[in-house]
Amino acid sequence: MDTVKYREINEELFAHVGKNLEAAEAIKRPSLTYFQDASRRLKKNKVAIFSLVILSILIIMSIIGPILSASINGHTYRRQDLSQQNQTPIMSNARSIMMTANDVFSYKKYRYNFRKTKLIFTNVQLKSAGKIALKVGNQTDEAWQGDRKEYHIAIEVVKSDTWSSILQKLNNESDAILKEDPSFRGVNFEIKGSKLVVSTPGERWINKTYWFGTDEFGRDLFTRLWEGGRVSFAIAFLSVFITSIFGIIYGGISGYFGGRLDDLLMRFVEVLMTVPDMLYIILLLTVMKPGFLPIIIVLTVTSWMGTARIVRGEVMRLKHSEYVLASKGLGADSKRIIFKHLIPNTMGPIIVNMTMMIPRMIFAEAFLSFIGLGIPVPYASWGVLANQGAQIFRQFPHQLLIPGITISLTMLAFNLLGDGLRDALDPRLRK
Amino acid sequence: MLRYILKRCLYALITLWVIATITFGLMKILPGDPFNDPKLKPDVKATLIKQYGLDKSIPEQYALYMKNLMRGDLGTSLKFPGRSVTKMIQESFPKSFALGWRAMVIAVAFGLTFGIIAALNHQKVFDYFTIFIAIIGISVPSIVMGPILVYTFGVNLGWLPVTVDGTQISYLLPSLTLALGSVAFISRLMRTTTLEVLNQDYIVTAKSKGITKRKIVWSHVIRNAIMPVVTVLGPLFAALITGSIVIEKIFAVAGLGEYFVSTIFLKDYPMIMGITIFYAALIIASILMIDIIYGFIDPKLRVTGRRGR
Amino acid sequence: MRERILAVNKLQVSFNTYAGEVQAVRDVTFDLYKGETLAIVGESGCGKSVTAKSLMRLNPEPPAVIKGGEIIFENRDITNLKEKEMQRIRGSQISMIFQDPMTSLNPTMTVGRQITEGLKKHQKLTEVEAQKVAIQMLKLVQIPNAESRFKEYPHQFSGGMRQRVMIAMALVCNPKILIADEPTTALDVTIQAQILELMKELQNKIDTSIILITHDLGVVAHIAERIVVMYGGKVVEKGRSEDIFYRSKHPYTWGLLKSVPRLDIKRNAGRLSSIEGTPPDLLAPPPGCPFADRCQYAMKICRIEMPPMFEIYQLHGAACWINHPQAPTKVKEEV
Repeated sequence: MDTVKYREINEELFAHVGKNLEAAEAIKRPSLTYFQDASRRLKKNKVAIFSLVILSILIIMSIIGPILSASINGHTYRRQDLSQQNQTPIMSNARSIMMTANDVFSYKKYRYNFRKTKLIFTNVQLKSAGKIALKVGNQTDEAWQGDRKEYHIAIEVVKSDTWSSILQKLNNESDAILKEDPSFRGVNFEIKGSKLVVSTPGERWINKTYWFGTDEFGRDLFTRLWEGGRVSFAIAFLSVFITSIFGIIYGGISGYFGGRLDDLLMRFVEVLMTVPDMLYIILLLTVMKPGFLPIIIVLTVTSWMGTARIVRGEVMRLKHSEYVLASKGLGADSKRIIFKHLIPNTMGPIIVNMTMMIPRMIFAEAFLSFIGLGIPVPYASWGVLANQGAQIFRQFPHQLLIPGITISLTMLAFNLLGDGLRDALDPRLRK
Repeated sequence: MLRYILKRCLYALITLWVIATITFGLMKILPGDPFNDPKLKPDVKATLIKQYGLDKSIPEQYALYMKNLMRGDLGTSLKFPGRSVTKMIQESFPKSFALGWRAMVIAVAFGLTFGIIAALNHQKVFDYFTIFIAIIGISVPSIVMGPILVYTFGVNLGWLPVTVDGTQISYLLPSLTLALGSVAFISRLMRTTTLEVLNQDYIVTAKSKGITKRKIVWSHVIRNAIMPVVTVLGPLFAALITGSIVIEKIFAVAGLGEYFVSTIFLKDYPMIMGITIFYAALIIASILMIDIIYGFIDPKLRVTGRRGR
Repeated sequence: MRERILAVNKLQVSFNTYAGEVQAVRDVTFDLYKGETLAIVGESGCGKSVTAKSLMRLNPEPPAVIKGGEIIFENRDITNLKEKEMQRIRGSQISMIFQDPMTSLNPTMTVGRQITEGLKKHQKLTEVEAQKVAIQMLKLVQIPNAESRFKEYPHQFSGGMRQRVMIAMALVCNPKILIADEPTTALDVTIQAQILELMKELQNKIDTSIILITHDLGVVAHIAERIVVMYGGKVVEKGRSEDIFYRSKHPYTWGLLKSVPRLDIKRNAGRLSSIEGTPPDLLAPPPGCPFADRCQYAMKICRIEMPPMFEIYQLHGAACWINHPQAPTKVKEEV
């Protein structure tokens, strides 16, 4: 037995003090209302706050972006300037090169950079004598960005030539052209191991008139990106808003009345939900003429069912929950139940659902634009921009990457914010 | 169990009927009646009138349309006279299917593996890696991801072919692109359900029996965690099918999706509607199949015929 | 005295949470003898379940950490065994049944397989042999039609039947110790008695020791020979059942006893009393007696220093300063 010997203790310590219930029942946390508690939890969630910041920036830029570029550079989303087509955010006057003849060496692989100002041949081997010819400043090439001038470099190679003498000849030829015309800017030929690199020098500068470059019609991409943001956000927000209103009414009626009506309404929703919504959207849009309003209508018609289900579930749950029964028992009228219990408790899931639906709408819009059912020309939306960019991605990756990153960032931020909101608003779902 | 299957089949049939009816309705309310296009050749017009019974009343047309559908006759193309929609689907669908099943396999295999490993290593490196992959997969749409993958792995690195030529390796890039979103979705879901199961009392029970950790994972955790994932495979397949419309365009696969997009551009209405119904039927059939499979793997459903969680 | 098979010595278990270290079990000491039933009693959050799970090392580590003390079972200290060695003990030497039979069985595995699983692992039986033993065991826990029910799933069993399955599962390898963590709490009152009866019966047949974890002194009265009362992560009193029920020396135990409905004793107020207040926060446990704030007999020293375990008589001990010879004598025993 782990008992102890009695020890002498100061008599005074045995004075009776009794209970200290205040200490025993001290509540360690202050009591907060539902929304105070939720916003406190949301503020703690760094990821959600970061997403909120990103979204605010994107939305603010969509509002002021087009105004900014119109007042500084005078661009509009639809003004075309074919002489300024396909500019990049960072400009370069390096000329593109193209090999037009080669009897001299064999190579395993041939690679070029985006604007074809650098050609890389790997595993090169001298083959035989003959001709090497290159075209510099190739005018037929889409990658052209500088002045329109074309030069030809051609040399004859004989049997006795080695790599170094061949490169010498090529460099001499290039120097000769440069002497006649300094705007040629020269060509460098280098051999690195078994790799042959041909490149043209050039200066780089930041595009001051077209911040994000231009598209194939010479329209300013900065303006179009934020103009597209307006359209994409407007489509997403409006369709989610209308969807939610309809879903709340439908789900609310179904849940509130219950019984036969609920059975019927929910069976209908079930059938509609089995129908793949994308097909529906395509079908409806081929019937209506693609445009801003039809897209919103179609997206709304095909996506209210989820909201309806959630609302109906919440209403059902609340209707039978003990605290609502209790407050009914205490004589609360239906107005009080609706405003004190129903709305605060259903708002959480509805807000989360709305947040999660926005990226889906943005994605749906991009998808529709991609298959040609989106916003018609010359209007811009992120989907339209991504679609155009995808067509010439290999030459001008920025035309896809800029709208692509913007779309991805938006979807990411909304998804993360939705997760954060769910954690904050619906503690039951936390784990 | 039999009752459950019959009920599911009935639902599937009703859904299909609803879609067919909606499609028919849309055909009738088309603003510019495509069948009265003045540019239409008279012989084409004659076939159309015969096919759709355009000279008869609307209820009769509906009956005729339904009869045709039940025989598997989806109509005839407007722009390619004499070619039936069924024939076109027969030609192009196998290519889409070749892409689709590969994407499905990739999505399920990687999604489940990632999700399970992430959950078992909760809040460790692999878990964060999976969350990262899932976020990328959910946030970057395939219309952006596709071209980037094509450029990086196809053009720049030259590791993978960028167009489908029928060889196994050529399917890799398009099916990977198609599967990426679903990999993200499944791994996220599987991670959540696995974490949930790991917190269940019966896992402690299994542990209290002295069973090894590996055996607990194999015979207790995965089996239970996979159940909710099975239920989403149907809708997931639907997402892959509609997703392939975009992928086929990016990778120039002459499949049904690519074909569908071109018919939209050509405003070939009977084609659009025929393909829509075919897609819908396909998706409904796959959802039905998943439902029946679920019925077999859920002991509660197998015994009582009622779904319970 | 009977053979001692388990000795828990100054066991300390903590949970590392975001808020800090929760000291769930603090210096818990008790013994278990062969064939006896020991009850650990206390309100929720007193550390009784954590103590029980520590005996099988079933607390998830992390966040749980055994900070100190030892658990001696068969001359080995369980607290520093490797996971593999622990697995050999779990289910075969020590096994456990849990509070909620509705969630403690795997819903997607047949009841039979869940029983044979442990058998195959510990006794290296073949499938057929294991099945035989398992069906025998199901009969032993009085499940009708054992052969056919063997192939059924947990959802086809009622709560009481499931708890029988849990008992069968726990006892199938003839363990030396059975830990029952609130085995009847989730069951109907009529079924509770049946399950307790069954456990008692099987204990005599198999000769295992039982550690019964419960908050319900009423349950304990039927079945336990000795009782350990826990409060705020500490053992506050322990002794034979009679000692605890009739000669308790701790105000907390008095409070517990008063809150048990009884017909045999007339009470002045004629109604059940409860202990006012809430247990201490184990994130920052008080330096003195954890019960001091709720104790009507509290003295100055109770707030300052944790009372040691005073030996009352043989196995009976109580950790309360009123048992100190210098304490004022006006505090009388209450029943």
